[in-house]
Amino acid sequence: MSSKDGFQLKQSENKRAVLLFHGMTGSPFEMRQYAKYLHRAGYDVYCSCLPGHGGDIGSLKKTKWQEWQNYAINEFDYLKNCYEEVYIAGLCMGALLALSVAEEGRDVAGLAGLSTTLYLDGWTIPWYKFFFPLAIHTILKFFYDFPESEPYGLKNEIVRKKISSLYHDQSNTDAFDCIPMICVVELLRFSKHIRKNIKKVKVPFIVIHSKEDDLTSIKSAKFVYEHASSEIKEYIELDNSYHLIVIDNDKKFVADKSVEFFNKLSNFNDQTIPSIEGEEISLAEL
Amino acid sequence: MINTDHFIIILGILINLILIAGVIFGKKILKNQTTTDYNAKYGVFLVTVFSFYIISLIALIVVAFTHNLYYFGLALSLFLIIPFVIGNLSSYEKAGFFINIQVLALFVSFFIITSMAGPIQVQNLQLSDKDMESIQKPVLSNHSLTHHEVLSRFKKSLCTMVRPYNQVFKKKVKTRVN
Repeated sequence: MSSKDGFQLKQSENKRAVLLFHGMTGSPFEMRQYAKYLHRAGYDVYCSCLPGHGGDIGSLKKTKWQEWQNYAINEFDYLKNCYEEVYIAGLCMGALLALSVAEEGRDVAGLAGLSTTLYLDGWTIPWYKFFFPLAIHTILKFFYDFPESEPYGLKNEIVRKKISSLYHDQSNTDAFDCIPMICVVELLRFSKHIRKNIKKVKVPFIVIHSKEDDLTSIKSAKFVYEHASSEIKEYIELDNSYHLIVIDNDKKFVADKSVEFFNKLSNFNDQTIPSIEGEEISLAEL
Repeated sequence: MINTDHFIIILGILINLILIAGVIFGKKILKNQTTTDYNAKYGVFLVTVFSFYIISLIALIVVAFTHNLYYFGLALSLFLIIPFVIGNLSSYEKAGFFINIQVLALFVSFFIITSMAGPIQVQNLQLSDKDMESIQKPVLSNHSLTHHEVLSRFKKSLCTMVRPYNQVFKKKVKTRVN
C-alpha cells in the first residue's frame, strides 16, 4: 500500500481506535512510526491521506480548509460507528483538524495535538514574513511557494538526510518540496477558525510541542492549552526536536506520552505500554 | 526642472510598469511550473515591487489632494483597495482570470498616474507667477480650482497624455516667458 492511500493497523475485536492526521504538504508516511507505537499499545490506528495530498501540487492548491475539516469529521464519524472509543492525534495542521473535530462537538475520547500550528512564527520562517499579509490578500499568493529547506523540521541529522533525499526525488509523492502560499492562506484561515472556536473544545487533550520548533513557536501550543475549555488537559514541551516531533529525536517520548494519556482515559486498558527499545522502526522503512 | 511631485509621479509610473511586466511574466512562470527556488525568489521580488506600488500610490494620493485634484485622489484611492478585493475574490481555479483583471487594473492606474502630471504641471506654472508671499501660503488657498476646472483639466490631460508632455509644457512656458 502506498502512503498516499494511507494505512490501517487493526486487531480483531478492538474497541478503541486512534485516528491520525498528517500535516500540510505531508503524507501518512510521516505518521507511520507513531502509528506503530500506538498499535503496539493496543489501539487500532487509522491514517489516510488528506484531500489534495498524495498527488500533484495543483490539486493541493485547489483544496480549501473546509474540505480538510469535512474530511476529518467524516473520518471520525465513520470510526465512531465502529469503535467504542475513538481518539484523535494530529501533527501540524493535523492537530488543527483534530481540534476542529472536537470543536464540532463530536464525542472524542481524547486528543493529542502534536506541533499544533496556529501561528507561523518559527525560526525558519523567512525574514520577509512581514510581506505575508500583502501576498495573502492579493493575487501574489499564486506566485509564491515556500521551498522546503534545511532542517526540514528535523533536528536528527540522519533522518534529515533521508528526508532531504526524498524531497529531491522527483517521483516522490509522499511529501511536496514546497508549501504553496495559497495553502498557507488556507492554513491561516483554518487557524483563525480554530482560534475563534477554541472554547468549544471540551474533550480531554494533550499538547506536545518542541521549544525549538522551526515552523511554529510554542505560542500555538500554549494558546490551545490556555483557551480550551477541557477539564483534563496536559501540556508537554520538548527539548530535543524541531517540528516533526513524531519522527525526530523525541519520537519515543512523544509516543509514550500519547499512549500514557490515552490509557488514562480509556476503559479498555487490557494492554500495557510496550517496551519500545529494540523495536525501533528502521530508517529503511521511511 | 523636476520637483518632488514630478519625481513621485515618475517613480509611480516606473513602479507601475515594472509591476505590470512582473505580473505578466509571473503568469508565464505559473504556467511553466518552474523550480520552487526560482518561484520563491520571483514571488519575493513581486511582493517587494507590489509594496513599493502601494507606497507610491499613497504618496500620489497625498500629492493629488495637496493639489486639490480630488478626482485623481479618489481614483487612486480606489486602486489602493482594488488589488485586495481581487485577491480576496480570487481562487486557484480562476487564477488566470483574476491575474488578467489585476493587470487591467494596473494599466488603468498607470494611465491615471500618467495623466496626473498634466494638472500638476499647470498648477506649478500658476505658482511660478506668484510672488514670494503667495508661495509661502498654501498653494491653492488664494486660487483654488473649482470642481469644473479640475474635471475639465482631468479630461484634457487624459486626451493629451498620449502626446509627449515636454512639448506641450515647453510651449506653455515659452508663451509665458514671451
